[in-house]
Amino acid sequence: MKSKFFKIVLPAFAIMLALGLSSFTVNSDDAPEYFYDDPSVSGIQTTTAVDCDGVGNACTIQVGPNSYQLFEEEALATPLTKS
Amino acid sequence: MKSKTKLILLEIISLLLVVLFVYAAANKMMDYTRFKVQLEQSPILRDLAYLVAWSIPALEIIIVFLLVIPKYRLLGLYASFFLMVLFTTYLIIILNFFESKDIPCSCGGILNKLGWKTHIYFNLFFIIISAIGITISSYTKKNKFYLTG
Repeated sequence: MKSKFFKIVLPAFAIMLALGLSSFTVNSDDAPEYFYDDPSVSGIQTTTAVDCDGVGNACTIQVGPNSYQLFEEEALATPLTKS
Repeated sequence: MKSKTKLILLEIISLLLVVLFVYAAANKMMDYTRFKVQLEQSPILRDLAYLVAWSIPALEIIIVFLLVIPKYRLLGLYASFFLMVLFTTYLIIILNFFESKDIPCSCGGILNKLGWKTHIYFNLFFIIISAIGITISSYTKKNKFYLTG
């Protein structure tokens, strides 16, 4: 009985504990926000998801078939590039 | 130290490592894009960012399985030890040879909030307990005694 406890219950509990902890403390809580302008949506859009594998190290976001350049601030003055 | 105490200590060490690796892997997978972007900012891992971004969480999950299955626990402890040594070496290189304040830690969740130096001490703790686990596990395998009910 004790052996079963050590082999199954404790590891399962440890895994559940770690998964619970990680879902509460995932990094996206404080992820930096970037800006882009999708013409089909009014205003400026924000995102935390960044893809910097584009041409010339440009950081973009893929929205459906379209890819948009990301900017560091809402004024869309400084394009975000791979540092 | 009594044999039973050693075995209980081995269980505690394995569970601590399981919690650490499940936590770290889950955080990386839940926020994969951010983890990959952080790796791309690393001067050492920049070119390997894509490979490292999926292989590290995968490796961490494999280690968890090894640690949980008693037959492979010793292998899991060795893998934990080497992964932590590798990661600590990376941290030490970044801290000593690069402008570390500009490079994100690439570690998951609350570990991201630790400073570089604190993270090294944190890793050293897990390296030491992995080494203790390896010693105990090797001893129990050699002497063939197990914790039973």
